[in-house]
Order: sequence, then C-alpha cells, then structure tokens
Amino acid sequence: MLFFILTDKYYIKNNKTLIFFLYLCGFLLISPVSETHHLIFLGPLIILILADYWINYRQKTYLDYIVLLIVIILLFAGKNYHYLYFPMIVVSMVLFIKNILTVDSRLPDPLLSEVNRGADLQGNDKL
Amino acid sequence: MAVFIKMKMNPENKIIKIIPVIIICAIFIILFIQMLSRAGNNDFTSYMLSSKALLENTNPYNTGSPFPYVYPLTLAFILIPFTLLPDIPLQILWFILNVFFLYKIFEWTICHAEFKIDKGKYFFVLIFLIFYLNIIQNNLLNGQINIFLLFLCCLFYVNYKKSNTFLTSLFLSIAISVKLVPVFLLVYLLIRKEYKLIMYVVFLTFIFILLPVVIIGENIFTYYNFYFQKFLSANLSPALNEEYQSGMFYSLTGLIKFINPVLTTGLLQQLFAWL
Repeated sequence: MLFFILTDKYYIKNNKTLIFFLYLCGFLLISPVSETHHLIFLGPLIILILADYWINYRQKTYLDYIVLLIVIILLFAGKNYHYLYFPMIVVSMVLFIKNILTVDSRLPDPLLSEVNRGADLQGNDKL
Repeated sequence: MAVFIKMKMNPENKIIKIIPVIIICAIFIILFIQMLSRAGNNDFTSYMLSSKALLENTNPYNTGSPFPYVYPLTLAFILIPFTLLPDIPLQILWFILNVFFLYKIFEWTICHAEFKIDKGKYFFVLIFLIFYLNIIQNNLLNGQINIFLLFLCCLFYVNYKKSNTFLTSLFLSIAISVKLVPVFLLVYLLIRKEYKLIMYVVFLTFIFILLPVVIIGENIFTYYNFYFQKFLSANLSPALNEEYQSGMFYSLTGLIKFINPVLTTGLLQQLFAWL
C-alpha cells in the first residue's frame, strides 16, 4: 500500500488519473487468496502496455522489447509454474510506470507528446 | 508476384482486416462451447444456489456446492431476478454479458489512455486475446464474477473523470459490497482528498451489504457471522496450507509464506489468531 501511495503522491507528477489502472493490481496483492482468474484485474494494465508498444514501436529499444518478452514468458509459464505470476505482476507494474505514467510527466516537449500519443500513425514522421 | 503479395499484405485490404475478426470470433465460440460443457458445475452455479437460498431464507454460505460462496450477500441479492431463468439459458446470458463487459473494459481502457490505434486495431485485439487467453478463459469457463467487478471499477473511473459524484460512489460501493477487494480504491480517493466521496461510498456500501435484510430479516446477522467465521477469518490466516494459499501464487500472505514459512507458523499466526 505504501508503494501505491508513494508512487501516486510523489513519483507521478502528471496524468494522475491513469494511475487508477495500477491500483487495480493492488486487488491482487491485498486479496488473501491467489487464484489465476484474479489476474483479470491486471488486464487493463497489459492492454495499455501492449498498446504503447503497438503505437510507439519505433521508439522502443531492444531492452524494452526484452522486458516485454520477459512479461509474456512469465505470463505463459505461470500457467504451469504459478509462482512466476508474482514477478510477472511486478515487472508489468514497473513497465507501466516507466513507459506510460512517466512519459506523460515529461511532456513539456509537444513534439514528443504527439509521437507518444500516436500522431505518427497518420504517416507523418515528425522526427 | 511481388505486386500480388503487396496487394494481399496491404493493411487496407478487406481480407487482411477480416482475418483477425474471424479468429477472435472463433476463439469466443470455442470458449462458449467449453463453457456450455461446464454449465451447472462452475462458480456461477454456486452464486445462483446462494441466491436461491437467500430467497428461501436458508444459509447462502452453506448450500453444499463444491464451490463455496465467499462474498457478502449483495451479489446473491443482485442475482435474485436471474433465479427465474433455467440454468443453461442463464449460463449463456452470463457468458454474453461477460464478453460485453470485456469489450467495454477494453474500449474504456484504450479511450481513457488517449491511445489512438487506427491501423490494425483488430490485430491488436487478437494479440491481447492470445496473450491473455488463459486468464479470460479461466474467468469465462468458471462463470466468475471478476469481469463484472472490473466493469464496475471501470464505471467508477469513467464517472470519476466526469466528476459525477453520485454514480462514482454508487458503482464503487456496489463493487465493494460484491467482493470487498475494491475497497483498495478508497486509497486512490484518499490521496486525491475526496473525503466527501469516501463518506458516500462507505455509507452506500453499508446500505448494499445490509440490503438483503428486506428478504431474510434479522437472519442476516446469523449468516454474516457464519461468513466471518468460516471464510473471512480463515482466508486471512496465513496458517492455511491450501495449494492456492501456500505461496505458489502472488498474494502478500502467500509471498510471506513462500519466502519464510516459519513466520506463518509463528509470530504471524499468533497475530492473526489474536485478531
């Protein structure tokens, strides 16, 4: 809970409402019982992480792709080795904070903000 | 040949566009068939049994179902109108509703993050579906309540962004009274200093939790006492050795047990026993 409060109050400067999706992961951690179907609460976070990669695939580094690959491997392997779900949740949360929440906190550059919000989908490579 | 391949692979090509849609539909049809084969033997059946028990003023927490009902009575109360339907159409209806909830959750998530996926959006949906199929399948086949709960939480978020106090507090209080864990979202409101909203949510949650009193009268306290003793205190105890609570998964109590089993048999156990 301390992690959520510190992240929300001090770490994320802008985009204060989008952090809501991170709070949904808190359901998993406070629930006394861990069951696979509870991971649906991580769904919106995974959607946003994938959407970020889908839109900004040109800006991503090899390291970004490796981290995403780790999340996917842990997600699939977790079906048989359930303890892998916990690192998967943690890595997803870190990826969400790094790629989505903090991107908005460094938005003074309008050019960068347009690229991050998918302006390049129109085919105008402004960079 | 190259021109032919280019024409075929062009994202604007209707055939390319329709392939992911066909695969998505095929996946949900397979899930639907799988769900039908489990109908009558899943968690949703247990919810309905509890709902019927509530209507007959017998203990909803002791229906003899292999999948015990472990939530406040609000869910059983909400499901009472559904008890009029036969089992199979009910399961089909619940499946369709869950798929609709999933669709809305997906739409709202993308919409509120202001992501614009103009090209290849069906491919994107398909990729997410493939990645998350295990979890979605687990929820749909078991007729779980989690997708509905996530839908309620998203409704809370959508209305919070619109500054609609009544609907925000209404949806969050329903979510909390259905499955308690969304109480964590009060931290989200607390950090934003939404004290008035928190008060509304707490008030409405108590109303919803006690709402079944209109059917079962003062027996509600007997049933809730049973619930607290048999499920809540038992599930909160880290001393349990059930497979899903033994640190194999991801809850904090499970993690503590996984890291240091001694803690759960010593100090923490005494603490929980005292609590």
